[in-house]
Amino acid sequence: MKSFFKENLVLVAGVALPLLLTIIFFVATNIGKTTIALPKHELIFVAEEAYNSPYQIIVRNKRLHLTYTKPNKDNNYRKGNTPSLYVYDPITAESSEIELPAIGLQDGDTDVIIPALASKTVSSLKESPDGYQFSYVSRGGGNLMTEVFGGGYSSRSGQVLHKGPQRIDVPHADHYRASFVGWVIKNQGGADE
Amino acid sequence: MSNKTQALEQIAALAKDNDIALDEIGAYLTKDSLDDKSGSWLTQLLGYLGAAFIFGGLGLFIAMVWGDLSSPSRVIITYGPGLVAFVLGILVLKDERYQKASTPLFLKSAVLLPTGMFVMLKEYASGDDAQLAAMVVFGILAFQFLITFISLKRTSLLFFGYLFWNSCLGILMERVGVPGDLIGIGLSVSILAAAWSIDRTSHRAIAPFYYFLGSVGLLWTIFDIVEGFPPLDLLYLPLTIFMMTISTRIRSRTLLLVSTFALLGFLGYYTEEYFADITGWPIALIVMGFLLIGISTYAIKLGRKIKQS
Repeated sequence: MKSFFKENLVLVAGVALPLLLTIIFFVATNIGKTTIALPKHELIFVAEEAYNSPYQIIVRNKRLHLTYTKPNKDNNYRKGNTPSLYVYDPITAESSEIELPAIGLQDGDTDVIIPALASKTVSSLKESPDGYQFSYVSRGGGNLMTEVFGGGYSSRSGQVLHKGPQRIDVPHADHYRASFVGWVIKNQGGADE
Repeated sequence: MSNKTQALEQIAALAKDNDIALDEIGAYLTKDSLDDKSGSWLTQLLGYLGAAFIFGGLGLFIAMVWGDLSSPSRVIITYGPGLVAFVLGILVLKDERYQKASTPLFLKSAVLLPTGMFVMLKEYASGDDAQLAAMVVFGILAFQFLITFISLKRTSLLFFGYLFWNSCLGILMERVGVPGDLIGIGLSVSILAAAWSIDRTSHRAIAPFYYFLGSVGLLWTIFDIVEGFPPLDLLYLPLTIFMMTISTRIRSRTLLLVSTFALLGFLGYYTEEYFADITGWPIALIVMGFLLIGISTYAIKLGRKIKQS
């Protein structure tokens, strides 16, 4: 074994170099992550934001509303299906889809509180009370090697829950088209989250 | 000592006594080989065409009935032929008459095995982490091909095994948060080192491919880093010259070709970046022309030097 290492020093060094980099960054990243507490607040997001949709999910008076604007000439005859709304629970690390009230196309302009989340107090601030954000993050630095061997551009960029070096992938959130809605900061009758 | 070893020793002694270069022996053997096979090229061509038609037909048939297949059928129809090809590739090595068939069989298995494994993960695994799936698949395949290579010493197994190893390692580096530039430099240097080591073995046939991959990766990554940062970008010039020098030391024409193109590309970038909007542009072009001629002459000389050595 010793003679193998001696005779193949270049090969051993070549194989060891990327492994060494991996170990160094694994340790460094995890040390950084341990100093940051995991998120506490539930995240509300739309899985894939549709362009020019007549349906909008907005936060008003700390409640979550679904609005529908009837397509007309003024809004370029908006069209699209009801969005897929999800709530991500950081404790279970799962996203569950929220059922939205049915609004018929024959209905006029509509604005209703989403019943499934009516008991929740929601904040639409970009940053959660514990300092997390759900936004597009790109680590950059793409090159031939990362494209061929590193899983491509999509692995270094996308919509994630992040704070400092802590990055959490959110299930069901589209890499590029997921959009932030708000944070659940209080459940009615319950304590602040 | 076997007859083959004795024969090789005799050839080496004769070549040394008569000052015959390795390339000359190769050219002579190739000429003889072509003379021998001149009558059978049509048979070979038809054989390759037939194999391509069968493979293509099977692929199209699978694509047509894919929607009607159950999950186990989808896995069996993709992973199954890959595994069979891999086992057959090993079995044919036992019979000297069919040894040549091992490389296309390993090639087929290198395409079908990962396909089958991805299909298996898609059908049965939960979650949507495609990157993790790719890392697991390439890791298993790297292990499978490299372990078999250690036992059978077939170049094709080393080629695919090392390719899968880099795919797995690249994703692992990506997942632990190694910056893209460092992945580029680390993997490229690693591949160049491996290519250099392979070049000194009987598996040297695959070394040019890895020299190409490693050098393009390294020069590309470093150019991305220094591009648009004067005077840092000027350091790219000595780097390419250094790579050209290295190519002569390790006697790699592939490395020489890549580094020469990198140097030419850099000169183009530098001229356009800093001299394009001034009246000296035509003069710069003329100077660059002379530089190109000078570099190409130098590259040809280096190439000859490599050939002679």
